[in-house]
Amino acid sequence: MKTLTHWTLTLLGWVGLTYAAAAQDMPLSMLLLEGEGWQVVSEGHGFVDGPCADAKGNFYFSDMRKPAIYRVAPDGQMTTLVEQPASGLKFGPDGRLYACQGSKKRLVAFELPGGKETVIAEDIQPNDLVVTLKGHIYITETGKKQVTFIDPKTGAQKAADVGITAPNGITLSPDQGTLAVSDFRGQYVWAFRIEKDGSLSAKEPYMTMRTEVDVNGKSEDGRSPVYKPSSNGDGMTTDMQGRYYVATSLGVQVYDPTGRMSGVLPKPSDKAMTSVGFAGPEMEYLYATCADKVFRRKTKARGALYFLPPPPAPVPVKR
Amino acid sequence: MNSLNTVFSRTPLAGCYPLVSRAAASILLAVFAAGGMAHAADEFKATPYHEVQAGVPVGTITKYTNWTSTVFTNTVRDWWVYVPAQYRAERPACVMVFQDGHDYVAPKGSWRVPIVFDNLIAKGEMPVTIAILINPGHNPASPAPKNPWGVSNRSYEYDSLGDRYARFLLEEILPEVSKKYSLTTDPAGRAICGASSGGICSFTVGWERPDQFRKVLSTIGSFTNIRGGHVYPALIRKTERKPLRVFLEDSSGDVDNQFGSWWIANQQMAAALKFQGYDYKTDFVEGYGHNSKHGGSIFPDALKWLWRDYAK
Repeated sequence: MKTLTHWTLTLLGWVGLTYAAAAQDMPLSMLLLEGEGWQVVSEGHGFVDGPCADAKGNFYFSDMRKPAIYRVAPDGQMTTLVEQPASGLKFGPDGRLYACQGSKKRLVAFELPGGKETVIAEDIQPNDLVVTLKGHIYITETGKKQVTFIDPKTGAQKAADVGITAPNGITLSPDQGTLAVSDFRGQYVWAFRIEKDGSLSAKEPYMTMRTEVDVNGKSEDGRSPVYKPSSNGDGMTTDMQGRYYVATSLGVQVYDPTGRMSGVLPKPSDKAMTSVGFAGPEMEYLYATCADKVFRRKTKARGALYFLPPPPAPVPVKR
Repeated sequence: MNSLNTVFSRTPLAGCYPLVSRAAASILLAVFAAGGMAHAADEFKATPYHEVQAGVPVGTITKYTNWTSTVFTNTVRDWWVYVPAQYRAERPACVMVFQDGHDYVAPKGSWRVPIVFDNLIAKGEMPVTIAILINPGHNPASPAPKNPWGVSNRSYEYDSLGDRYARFLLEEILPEVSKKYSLTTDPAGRAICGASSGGICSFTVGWERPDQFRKVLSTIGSFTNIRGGHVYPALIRKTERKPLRVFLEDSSGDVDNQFGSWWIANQQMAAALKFQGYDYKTDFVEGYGHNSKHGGSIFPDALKWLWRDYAK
C-alpha cells in the first residue's frame, strides 16, 4: 500500500470510469473507418444469405435460389463447397458447418472439405442459427414464432421461447451469456439470459430498431409521420466489443452492449438485405448479403467467433 | 410574434389530410406575411448578382401550367424551367430544383434565380445549370388559393418525411424536362433548394436519395415538428454520413411556436452535420424574421459555395 498513494488511486479510478463509459458510449465513429465504404465481394447470385466465418477468417455464404454454399478467401478467391440451399450458416466447435434448410425441414452439418452431410434435426423449419462453444444450437423458427434449442449430443430439442412475432436473426454476446433475436415483423431485438442448461430467461425487448416511414400511412392527428411496424429485422452478428448488428430494411442497425443504438449503416443496395457477418484475417470486415450481391467493408471492429472461447475480459474499444 | 402565436393556437391540427394541408399552408402563409415585424435587421440587400448586367447572356424561362401529378394525386401546379444561354444539348446540364418556384422565378423578389444564374454562369462561378422551379400542388376541388403560398398540398408535400417528394421529382418532373433538355445524371451535379418547409423538403430529397441529389440549400428550413421533421438531427448523428453537401441559413428572429424553434432547430441541424463530418456551411444571422430577405441576399454566395469545385 505504500506505493498506492491517493493520487494513484484517483488515477486508477478515472481509468476505470473511462473504461466503463467506453463500454457504453459507442458512436459510429468508433466502428467506421474514414474512406472505407461498401465494396462488392460477389454478384450475379439468386438470393444470398447465411454469412459466417471460420477460424482463419474465410468468409462463407449461401445462395437460396441457385442453391450453393460458397467460401471466399481473404484474397477474394471463391470456392463452391456444396450445391445445397441454406438460410443460415455457422461453424460449430466441432469444426463442422451447420446449415438451416427450412425448405427441407431440417438442420444439417457439413464436414469440410468434402461436404459429408449429417442430419442434426428434422421436422423443424429453421430460418437462422447460432452454435455456442458448448455445441448447443439455437434456431429461429419464424413461422412458429419460436426459438428452438437443440443439443446434438443428447438429441434434446425443445422450444426455448415462443411468442416473438417473427423471430429471424439470432446471435450471442461475446461472453455467450446473452442471446439476441430480431423480430422481422416487429421493431425489437429481444435479449435473453442463457442459463447453464441452455434454457432462456430474462426476456426483454432490449434493442429498438428504426423502421421506414410509411408514406401511405395516415396518423390520427393527420400530420405525424407513420412508421412501418415491421423493421424487417433479419440476420444478426456481434463483435468482440459487444456491439450487436442486425440487417433491416433501413440498413445495418448497430447497438452498443447495453442495447442503445450506435447508428445505422444504410444499405449498399436498394434490394433486400438478408444478413450481416464478420470475416477477414482479423475479423475486421463486415459482410452484408443483399439479394443478388455480397458486400463488405473494413471496420474498426473485430467480429466474434462463437466456436472459440471468449476472451477473459472485454476487448478495449478503439477510439 | 404574438400575432403569430394567436394564428397558430387557433388553427385546428386534427382531421383529414386536405384540412390539415390547408391549415398548415395558411399557417406558413401567415408566418411569411408576419415575419420581420419585430426585427430591425430585416432588409433584403441586393448584390450586383441580383441585377441584370449589360453583356451577360440571358437564359430562357418556360412556364408549365396545370401540371397534374400521379405521385401527388388530385393536385395541379404550375412550374417553370430556366435554361441558361450557355446550354448546349451535347453537354448535359447540371440541375437545380427549387420549391415554391413562383418565389424563386420572380424578377423582383429576393431570389431572382434567372438573373442570379445568368450572372454566376457568365462569370464561371457556377456550372451551366438548368433550374426547375416548382410550385406545391393544389387540390382543384379546394377553393382557389388567394396566392401561391395558399395552395392546399404544400405542407403535405414539403414537411412530410419519406421519399414521396423525391419520387415526384425523379418519376415525373425530371423525365419531363429530359424530353427537351439533356440533364446530367451525376448526383453531384444535381442540387435542390427551398425556404421554410421548402427547405426541409429539399433536405429530405437529399437524405432519401443521395444517389440522385447531393447538394442541398435550405433557408429558414422547417426542421421542426410540423410533420415529424424535428427528428433529423438525431437521425443524422446516428446514421452513417451520406454524400451530401448542405448549406443552411437561418436568423435569430425566426419563428418559435408549438412546432418548435426554427432558430434552435437549424443550429441542431448544423451541430449534427458537424458531428457526423458533413461538408456543410451555415449563415446564421441576428435579427430577420421568417422570410427570405437574408437568404435571398446571400443566395449568390451560397450558390458559389455549393458549386465551388464543380467543372464549370
